Amino acid sequence: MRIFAKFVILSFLISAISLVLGASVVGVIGPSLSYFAYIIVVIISVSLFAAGSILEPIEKLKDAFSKAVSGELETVNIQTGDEFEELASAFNWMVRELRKEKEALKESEERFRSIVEEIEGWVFELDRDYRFVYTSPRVKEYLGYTEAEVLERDIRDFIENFPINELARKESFEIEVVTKHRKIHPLEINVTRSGDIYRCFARSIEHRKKIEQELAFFREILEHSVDAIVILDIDSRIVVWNKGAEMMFGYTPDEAIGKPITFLLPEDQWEQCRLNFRRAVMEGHVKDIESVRIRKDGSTIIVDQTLTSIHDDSGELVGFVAIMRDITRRKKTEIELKNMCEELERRTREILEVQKELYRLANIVENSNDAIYSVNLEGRITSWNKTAERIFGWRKEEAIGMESSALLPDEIKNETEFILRRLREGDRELRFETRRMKRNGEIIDVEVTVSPLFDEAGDLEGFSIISRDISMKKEAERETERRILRYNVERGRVYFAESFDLAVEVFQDLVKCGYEGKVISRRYPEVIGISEESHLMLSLRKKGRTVEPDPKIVYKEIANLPGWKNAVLLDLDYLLVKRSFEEVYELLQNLKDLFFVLNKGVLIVVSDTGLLSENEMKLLKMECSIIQSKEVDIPDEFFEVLRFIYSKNRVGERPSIKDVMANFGITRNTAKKRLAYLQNRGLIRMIKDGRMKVLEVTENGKEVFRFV
Amino acid sequence: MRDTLKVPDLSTLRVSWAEAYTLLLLLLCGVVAYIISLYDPAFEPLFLALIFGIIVGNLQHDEVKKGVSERSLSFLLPVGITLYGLNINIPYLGEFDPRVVVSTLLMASTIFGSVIWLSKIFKIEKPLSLLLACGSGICGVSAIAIVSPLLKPKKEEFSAAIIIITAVGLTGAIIYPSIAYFTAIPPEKYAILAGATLHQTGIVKISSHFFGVESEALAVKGIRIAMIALVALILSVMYSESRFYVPWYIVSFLAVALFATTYLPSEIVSTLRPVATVVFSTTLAAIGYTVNVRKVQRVGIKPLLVSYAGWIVGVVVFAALLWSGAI
Repeated sequence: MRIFAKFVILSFLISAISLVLGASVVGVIGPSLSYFAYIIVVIISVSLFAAGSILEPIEKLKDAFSKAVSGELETVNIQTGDEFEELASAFNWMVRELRKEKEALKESEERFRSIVEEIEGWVFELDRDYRFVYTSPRVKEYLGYTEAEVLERDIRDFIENFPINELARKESFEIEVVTKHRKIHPLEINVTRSGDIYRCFARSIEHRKKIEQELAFFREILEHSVDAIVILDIDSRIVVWNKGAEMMFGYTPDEAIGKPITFLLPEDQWEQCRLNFRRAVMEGHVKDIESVRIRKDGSTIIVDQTLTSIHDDSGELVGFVAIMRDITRRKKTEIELKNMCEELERRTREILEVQKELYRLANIVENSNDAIYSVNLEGRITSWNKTAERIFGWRKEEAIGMESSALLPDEIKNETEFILRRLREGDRELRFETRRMKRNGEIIDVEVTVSPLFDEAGDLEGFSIISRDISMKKEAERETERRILRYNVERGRVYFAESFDLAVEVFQDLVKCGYEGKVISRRYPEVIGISEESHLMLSLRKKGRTVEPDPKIVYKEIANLPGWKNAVLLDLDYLLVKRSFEEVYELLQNLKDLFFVLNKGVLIVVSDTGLLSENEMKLLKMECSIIQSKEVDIPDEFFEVLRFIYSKNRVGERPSIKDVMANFGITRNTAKKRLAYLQNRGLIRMIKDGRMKVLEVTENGKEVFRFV
Repeated sequence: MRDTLKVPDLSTLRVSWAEAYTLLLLLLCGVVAYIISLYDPAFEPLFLALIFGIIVGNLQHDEVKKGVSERSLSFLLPVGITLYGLNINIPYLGEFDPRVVVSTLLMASTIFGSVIWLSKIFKIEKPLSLLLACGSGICGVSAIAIVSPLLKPKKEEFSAAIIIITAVGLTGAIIYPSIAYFTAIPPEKYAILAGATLHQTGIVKISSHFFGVESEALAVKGIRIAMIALVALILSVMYSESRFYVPWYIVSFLAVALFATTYLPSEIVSTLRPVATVVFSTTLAAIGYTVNVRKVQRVGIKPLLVSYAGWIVGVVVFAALLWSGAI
């Protein structure tokens, strides 16, 4: 209902009451002062409350406005349904808006207050006289005084050295303040000027200073570390390159920074590097990476690297630190040491092998069928095996230290000197047949092999002798040779042939019986009737297959003949022409010793010219043996065939006709003729051995050789 | 709460010259009100004392004296209530026609209930609505004054209730003769109407005097006055701070009323009644002294309309009873 209507109704009500009351008084009761007084009281009361009813919202609004002005924003509750309600509604809207603004303002103020109070720093304001006009509660923390204590006071009362001149000139500066409790605070102060007010924000830089010191410390370590310390970004590009790295790799920081770490690596290690980075990301760090790096000069080094990932406060990966130590020398030493160890092991193995070999050899030596002993340069025995004990009769302890010549028969007492001379001349192995004397004085034939023994310096310190008892064999051979040779010649002897033809015959007979023939003569081989291989021409001219007519050279040539079944024919004529008799005689004596001691075979010397005097001839014949011929009634060519079959039969073989043909170089018919002759004489017989016919000497045939 | 009516502690009473002056002023208000009421019983001395107190208090604007007046209430209010028991004459119901008693109780209850109901509709404060209900249904200003310490209303609500009930009562006093005249109600019925529906004893007296049924009307009014004892007990129980607690001044009020009706000689009662009235009027003057008239005015017209409505409901009930032949 609108106010106008309310006024109308109220006026009507009052008027109606007045009219009714007046009419009642005037019409029924009659004029009475008291009743008029009642009417007045009633009318006043009704008017009072009616007016109050109308004015109530205005009063409420008035009070609300008064409160709003004084800051109390309260809404009014007016439900009159008239303009006052609308006004109250508008007022309430205004109040709500103001309240929102006030709340926002309050919130903002609270926010800024809390920021100022909770911010990690001290906020204060100074007036133009440098007195505190505002300070945040953190003044207690920074100066030790309360807000009330510092407000309106000069800042220099609390900070004596406060640089007031800096306030106007600088936006920020650093000072050190001493608190109420005598504690020193390094502060950074930021200043903004607003009119005459200096608004300052002080922040403790104690932590920063400490970090700066630590950073300086770490920087020094980084710079002066002998290790290469390289910091990389997440793309493994170098961002920090210290002096150690520069010295290690040769690159300056300008050359290295910005490049990927792989430029230090050989390409075959890139994949491993990638895996290492992956491990560093997953596990935090990777230690003991031994890897090859390339220096600027192209040389390679081995480094021991530790790779660590770097994370920021939020745990985000920001890079890596690679610390590398050059271990090339160490690795080389290790490798050398390893090689040495391996070498040592190898040598130890070798020594063990040698030891085993020696042991085995010692065993072999000890248990060999040959008598083995060694002799030093003084000619004393230094070792002695069991077989030596058995063969020679001396026990080891008796033999050691004994003169080796005790083993030699009287005729070869100079063998030791002979051997030593040969070894000193350079011979590394001497093999010959000789004789030894047992403890009981019995002479046996032995085949010896002499080898030199050297000390660590390579100097000759003695020789070893392997002696094989060949008495039986020698006896059998001598017996055989005695039987089958046409001339009575023995091995180890020197024979003098008075004619060249006789010498050639003996020589060829020996060759036919298996001797290695060698003719040293001025005559041509075709004249002598021997092959060129068996011939050495005495000549001053040095050509192939020639020997100088020098007794020493001739001696050496003969001495160097291999084996001990040599048939040597030495023609003395040219030597006697070129040299004196004495020299030739001496040569002959030496050769006699050589053949006798070494039992090298049979030496036939010949001189059929008149170069020698009778005395000289006598001397030569005294030194040599005389050749004697056997009397056999079988022609030579048949005898040779019989001898061939006999010699084969002695070793258990039965030759065929072909063998005879091949051995003598004759035709089948010739061979058959000769065999038929021998068969007819009852000296041989032909036996069927399967499909072949073989030959065998009969008992009559064997008698031929027995009697010879 | 300074603005609410309650019984202050007696030990806090201190008397000074300023206090004495204020008390004398208030006493003067009470005496003048009593004298006026003697001249015209329609003007309830309690109402007049309150009005005088309001006028004097709003003219003086003396906070010290208002403080004195405030403190004096701690003594005056219980004493006034206790002594006012002398003015209560508990009737012997056997003397009445039971139909009259029932009809009177029915009308009083209807008025009481309708005021409470309408107050709720018009969203009037509960203490004020109860004050208006007691004033309308029981015995006007005196009932309001007696139950007010129990309900602890605001002073402006208390003052407004007294003014409203007086205005409504006076309206009835003026209109009732016309109603009787135009409807030709028999005088004995009119006495029931006046006694059962009008608010103050003085107004009942004035309006019934016109038809010469003063004593009958006052007798009916006496039934309603007797209800104050019951209502005071019920309200004191309902509004006590602890269960089944009845304030001492209510007990003493009821005891004085019972004693004055039964054993105390009527001469003594008649002698003491003016004293009691003056003391209670002084109490009301003290209340009015501290009340701001603007605040009284702010109570608005709704309580007035509710009171008028309650009174009209009472008249309608009477008409219905009369038409039905119940009375």
